[in-house]
This record gives sequence, structure tokens and C-alpha cells, in this order.
Amino acid sequence: MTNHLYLAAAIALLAGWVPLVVMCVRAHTIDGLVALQLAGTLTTLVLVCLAVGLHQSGFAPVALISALCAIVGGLVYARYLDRYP
Amino acid sequence: MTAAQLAAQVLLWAGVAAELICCIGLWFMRDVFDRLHFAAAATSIGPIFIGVSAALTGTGSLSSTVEAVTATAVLLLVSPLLTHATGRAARRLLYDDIGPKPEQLEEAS
Repeated sequence: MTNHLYLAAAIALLAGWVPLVVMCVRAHTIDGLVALQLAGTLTTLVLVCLAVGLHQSGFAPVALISALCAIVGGLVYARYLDRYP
Repeated sequence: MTAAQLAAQVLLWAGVAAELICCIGLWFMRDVFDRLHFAAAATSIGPIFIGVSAALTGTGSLSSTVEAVTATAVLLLVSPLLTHATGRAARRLLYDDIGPKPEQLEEAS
């Protein structure tokens, strides 16, 4: 059974990537890192919406792994920039 | 439509609106510290609303529903750490020090 509202919400959340990608490409390094962190959050929420909308249980663990990777990756980048000479 | 379904839809679109507002705010802010405010809000408000909405609707099985809600809970609980680390890195990158400047100390005294 498909829940179309959650699929529409996933598409709406994907639209939020547009300013973030532009900022990652054009802005200062640290501003790009903030945009990258928000993109990771959006990715997790898109996967949660897909899991509910498609009733596919396989998306839920991917969302959990995406959340963990977004946080660990952001921490690694922040730590790297903190020690940047 | 039951009350739970109505609540799930309202929470879902409130979460989506919060995320999109944070994305637009990130775009229009002047410096990284203002942008961090919006990034922190995006990792707290949106995941709460969408996580509760997913819990009310369900993903077909209990275990995957718990995993989806756990993913939003991880974002909610651990992201302040990430915001703090990013703010610290930004302060050191832009001002070469995480402490206040000497002129700021003079103004405070």
C-alpha cells in the first residue's frame, strides 16, 4: 500500500537540497560544511518518508545508517577544519 | 479519516515546512554563526515532527517503524554535539582563536 502524502513530502524535502548544493559549491568552506550537515539531515528524513510512504521496511535501516553517517562525517570534517593550519 | 491520521498529516507537513524554512534561512543568512542557528533548528524541529508522524502512521512492521523513529531520535539527540563542534571550528578558522578578542575583553571590563 502506498501513502502518497509521504512520497510528496519526500519530494518536497528533496527540493530543499537546491540551496544547499549551491552553497556547498560557492560559499566559504565552513559555510559549505553547515550546508552539508543540513543535507545529511534532509537525506535521513527523506528516507524515513520513503519507508512510511512505500511501506518498505528496507528503507528504515538505511535511514538509521544515514543519520549516523551524517553525524560522524560532520564531526570528522569539523575536527579537520578545527585543526586546519 | 481518524484523529491519528489527521495528526500524522499535520505533523508531517509541519516538519517539511520547518525543514524548507531552515534551508531558505541558511541561504539568506550573513555568516556561519547565523547559519548554524538554522542548521540546529533543522535537526531538532523537523525530526521531532516527522518522527512522531512516522510513529503514528507506521512503516508496515513494528521493527522498521522503531528503526525509522530511532533515526530521527539520533538526529535529535546527537546533532547539538555536531553544531557545537562546527561552531568551534568556525571560530578558530575565521578568528584564529576560540576565545574572545582583547578588545572584546576591554569592552566587557
